[in-house]
Amino acid sequence: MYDVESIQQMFQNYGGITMFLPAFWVCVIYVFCYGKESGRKRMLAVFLLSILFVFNDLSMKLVGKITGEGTYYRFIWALPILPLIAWAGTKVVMEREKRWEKAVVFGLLFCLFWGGKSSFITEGSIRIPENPYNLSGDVIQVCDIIAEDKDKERPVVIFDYGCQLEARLYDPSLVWGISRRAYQFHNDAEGYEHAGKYKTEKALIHAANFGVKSEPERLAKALKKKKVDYIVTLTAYEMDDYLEGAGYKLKARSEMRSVYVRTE
Amino acid sequence: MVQPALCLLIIVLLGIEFGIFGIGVRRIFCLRLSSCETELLGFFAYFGLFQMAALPLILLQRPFHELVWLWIVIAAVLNLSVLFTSGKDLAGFLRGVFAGVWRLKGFLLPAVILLVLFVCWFQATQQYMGWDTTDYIGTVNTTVYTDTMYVYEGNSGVKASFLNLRYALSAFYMHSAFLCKMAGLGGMIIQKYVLGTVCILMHGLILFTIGKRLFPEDEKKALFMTGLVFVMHLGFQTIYSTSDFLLIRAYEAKGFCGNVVIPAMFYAVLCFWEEQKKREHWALLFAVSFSSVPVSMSSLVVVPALLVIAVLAQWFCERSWKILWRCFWCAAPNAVYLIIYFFYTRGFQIMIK
Repeated sequence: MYDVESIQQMFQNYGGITMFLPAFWVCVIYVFCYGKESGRKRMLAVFLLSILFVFNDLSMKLVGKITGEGTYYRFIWALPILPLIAWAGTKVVMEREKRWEKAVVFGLLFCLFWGGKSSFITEGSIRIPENPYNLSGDVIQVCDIIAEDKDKERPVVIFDYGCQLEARLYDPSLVWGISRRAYQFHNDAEGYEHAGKYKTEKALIHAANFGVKSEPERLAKALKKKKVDYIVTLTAYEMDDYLEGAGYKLKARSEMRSVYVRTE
Repeated sequence: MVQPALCLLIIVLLGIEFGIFGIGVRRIFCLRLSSCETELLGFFAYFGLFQMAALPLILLQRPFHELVWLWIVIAAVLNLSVLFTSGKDLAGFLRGVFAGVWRLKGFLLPAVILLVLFVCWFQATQQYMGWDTTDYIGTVNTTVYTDTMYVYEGNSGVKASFLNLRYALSAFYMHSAFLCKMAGLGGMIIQKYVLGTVCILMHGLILFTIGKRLFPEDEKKALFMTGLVFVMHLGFQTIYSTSDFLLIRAYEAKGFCGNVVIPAMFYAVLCFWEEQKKREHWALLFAVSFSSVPVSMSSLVVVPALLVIAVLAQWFCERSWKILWRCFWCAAPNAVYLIIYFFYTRGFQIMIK
């Protein structure tokens, strides 16, 4: 969770538009008011200690320095949000005597949590994978083309973003020519401190991702520096002539992508 | 059809392994635990032991196949010794499972089972693909392909200059690589279908066990509560929620942290609050703490924080110094990892040979 400056903001982002956090606090108050005396004392202690040690802005900054502020929201995982709501829900539903009463209360609970836009079950949320690898068929075709052609055990390949994410999940012998950080930071020269580091990879990203044809010298230099064996880009960019000029000829095409191999 | 069948077989075998490891630990330490608690304890004992075998080899940068052979030997010895010495316990464990299922017969049981299976299927069909996916599943694939552990960067395949202790301190993905090697399947299949399903099933088991503790008079209420949590999971879509990590990214160690390790810790705390002197409850607290980092590095600070707050709260009520001493020992493994990780973030590096 990035760009969060306070615990309150962290909770707001965590709960989003759902009703779960308010429902959780209602359940906490219920347990506190109607629970046993010893439990009440313990709950108060947990509440105060949680605020003292974890859920305050100073702790977020201090602990965040070691584990990363972006992951501080995982402390919220320690709150038994759903089990507590479910415990209260079970009491409410199962203590009805008649079946129709149980069904009505369950239906109301169901609507409370499924009524908004926060459901996972939406149109298009279930798509059966096209193959057992759960990867795009096109990426598999690209990997197969390289596997048939390669004369090196671990060739260096530059891919377009979508292909890069999936390629090594199918064929781990391929080595990325563009790093993850370069993909994330190359375009933010002002916003990110490391952007300058990725000038070389920027030319590769431009060619493979956006079909940029206006920087042949920078591209050739970058390809040489990274010792790239294959280039994979979208066929729609029509890069055949441009990449031939950089020393890479078309090897084969998958359904959507073209694979180029180094000629020298 | 072979791949799904193999995945199913591995899931069943892992379930049996957790049971056997649980019975082994139960017998060694003479613990009285229910079948659900035994399975839970077995899960943590399994990953804790795997970590003990794997971590020295990772830090020494030994080849991956040495870990494979070492774990085969350890698991074989443990399985055989439990089968030979604890036959009665094993029979009792199975009897407990079947008796529990029989007690719950009726409309609710198949409804909840169907719901949990639907969640497993839903998770398996999800095609979320992010940088983290390439990091984690890439690590599994790279380990098997290069026969090394964390020597090559998992996402890119480039040789690393030093061991990345952010990942290398937990052997969770090495265990996945072990499964890949044994089954001859790719990392994507093992992580997505096997580990993803294991995460959801273990989450269900823990919820049911929590439910039994909260509703000791009626197991059906516990079952209903389990079902209700799963229904709510399907409606809690924010990218930070444990539900998201259960339904979309259950195969990641983070998914296990949010949905197995922390709920298990919560269960252990509930038991401890109820009866602080019982050895079984301390054994559970220790097992979960000890194996929290082996399952997920995300547990590094969250689990000890939960433990310390829970024990201090109890101390304010009961003023027993003994529980603080025991708490210290439960938190010690994570403290060691934390110190190593702290030095790593301050520049302490183990260079790759």
